[in-house]
Amino acid sequence: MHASLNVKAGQRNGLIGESGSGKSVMARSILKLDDHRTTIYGTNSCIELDGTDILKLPEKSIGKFRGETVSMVFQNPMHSLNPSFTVGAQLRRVLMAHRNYSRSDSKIKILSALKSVDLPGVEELIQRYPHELSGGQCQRVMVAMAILCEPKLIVADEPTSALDVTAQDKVLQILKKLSVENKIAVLMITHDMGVVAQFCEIVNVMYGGRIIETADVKTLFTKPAHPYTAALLAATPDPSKPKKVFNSIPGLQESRTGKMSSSCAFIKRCKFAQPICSHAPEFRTLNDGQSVACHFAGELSLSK
Amino acid sequence: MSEIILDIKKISVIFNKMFFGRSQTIKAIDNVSLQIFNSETFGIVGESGSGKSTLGNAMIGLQTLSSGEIFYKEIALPLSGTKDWMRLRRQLQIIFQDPFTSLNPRRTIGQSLAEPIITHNLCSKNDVTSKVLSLLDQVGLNSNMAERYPNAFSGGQLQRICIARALAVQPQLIICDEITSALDVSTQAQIISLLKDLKLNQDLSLVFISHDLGLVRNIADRILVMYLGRIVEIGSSDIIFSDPKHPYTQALINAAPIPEPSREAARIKTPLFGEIPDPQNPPSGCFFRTRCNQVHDRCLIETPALKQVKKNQFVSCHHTEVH
Repeated sequence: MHASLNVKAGQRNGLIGESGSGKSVMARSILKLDDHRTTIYGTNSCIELDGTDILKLPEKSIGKFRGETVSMVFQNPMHSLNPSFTVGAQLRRVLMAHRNYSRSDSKIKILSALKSVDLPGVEELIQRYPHELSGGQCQRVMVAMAILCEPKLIVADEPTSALDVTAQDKVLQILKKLSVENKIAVLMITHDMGVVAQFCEIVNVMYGGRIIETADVKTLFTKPAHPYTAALLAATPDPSKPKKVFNSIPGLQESRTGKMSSSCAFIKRCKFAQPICSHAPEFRTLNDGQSVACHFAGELSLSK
Repeated sequence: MSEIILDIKKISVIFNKMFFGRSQTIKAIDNVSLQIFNSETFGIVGESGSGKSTLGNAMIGLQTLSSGEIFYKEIALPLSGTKDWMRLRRQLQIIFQDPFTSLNPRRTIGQSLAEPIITHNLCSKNDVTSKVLSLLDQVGLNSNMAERYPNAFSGGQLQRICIARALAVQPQLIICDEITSALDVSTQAQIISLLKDLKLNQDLSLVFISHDLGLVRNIADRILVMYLGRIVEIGSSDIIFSDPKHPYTQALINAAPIPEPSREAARIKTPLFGEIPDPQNPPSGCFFRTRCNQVHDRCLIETPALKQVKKNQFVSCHHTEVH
């Protein structure tokens, strides 16, 4: 993976791309959840969060960082909670690790966090076990857990792809509300364009381990500048429109074992590919603050 | 419309299970009747727990019915496991959600594809290989892939193989149970285009189960909206999406995000409150009344019957008369 992206305080960022593009690796790197024996960071890699470079932090102080400055919401809520402990006990453990609260103070804090994610009957809920809750409720408990220590950033790795449309809608609205009210930045990782349209302000598109386009959400949807972004938009079904012809992207993403190739990552599937594309393109900034890694950025007619 | 190929008459499916010595009954499907016509695509939508997959399984006899009957071209669907059923299953195929677990990891793709052909005696032994290769070609895969095992393929390729396996016996009806929910958008688009092409070239009906409303609108001619095992709304996909009558259908369509930021932001969202009720003790009267924002006294007592409101649109809601 070779990618740069920045998230401003309180901003709702999106990171999209197909499976294997490196989205989740990016998320795990931000929390340094990767196995340090098998993951190698480049010599000039840097993940700076609130002024601290996470990669340079010693292993011991990382734990304090996770949960307090940055926290994460995972894809499958049913697997993220421990089935043997009640909801309240699991939330309390987070506070025990990070805060020096008395038992009654931590209960107040837990109840208010659960209320802020719109869960009903919180007094009773903390006594219940994860299997007694629905998927949507579990994911809201996970969101409550993520905001317990008032982090600066929440990394949400496909938090709604295991949920129904109705539960998805609810979780996204709650995350949005919390982000706006408490100025928490969110990095939303997803492959669903609908989620991006509903939730994000800034969108980063990832392909083959690289970020290939960054733009604000309106620009990205109306004027995509990278052929891959345009193809992704064309492949997304729209529930508000009747049947259209689906335009799929031909071929598959290449496997990236071994050395990273020097050509543009999308070259084999791009219908605009030219000889120059065998050199990796530099980032270019178009007007509207849209930055694109394509030799022909702004020159192709890609609108839908 | 053309000929009816599957006629479902008042079916119910009740699950009985023992939980710590107590017997519990769950009505997964409650008195559902519908028809599926020749060469149409029929979509089924609803939240998880609404009985979509149980209905899909029941359609091909994988689920024993508690009451009611299903007729395939005027023949009653035989009991699963019987010889008659095995013979009929050639016409009725199913593709499951997770392609990684629907193929035998110890068999090559070629072996997996050859099995239904040999079981149903569709061609002579010498022709099996060429038949397998033509199937792979039909779903856009290389012939050298027949030698490989499932672990060598990506999710999208495996789902194509599952489609090829379903097509091997030249079925009349294929049930697609959330076949793209494990896949990426771009791969999903490839699979959907493939299904659309295959449907054009042969006489085939599809039942498309999904919770992705955008996808269902895109592929289905008619749709069925289910809630707690009952039919909520059924009819032409264009009519239901543009003018949904049942409050639940309206809420579902409202919850699905539109992939266009300006239009999505301009929408007034009326979120559905609460959760789907416990199917063991469903509410009295209309099942949706606990989450509905237009409840009347009548909804508490009386179960609404399915009524026709337009040509090709049927709704089960007491309020449709008021409108």
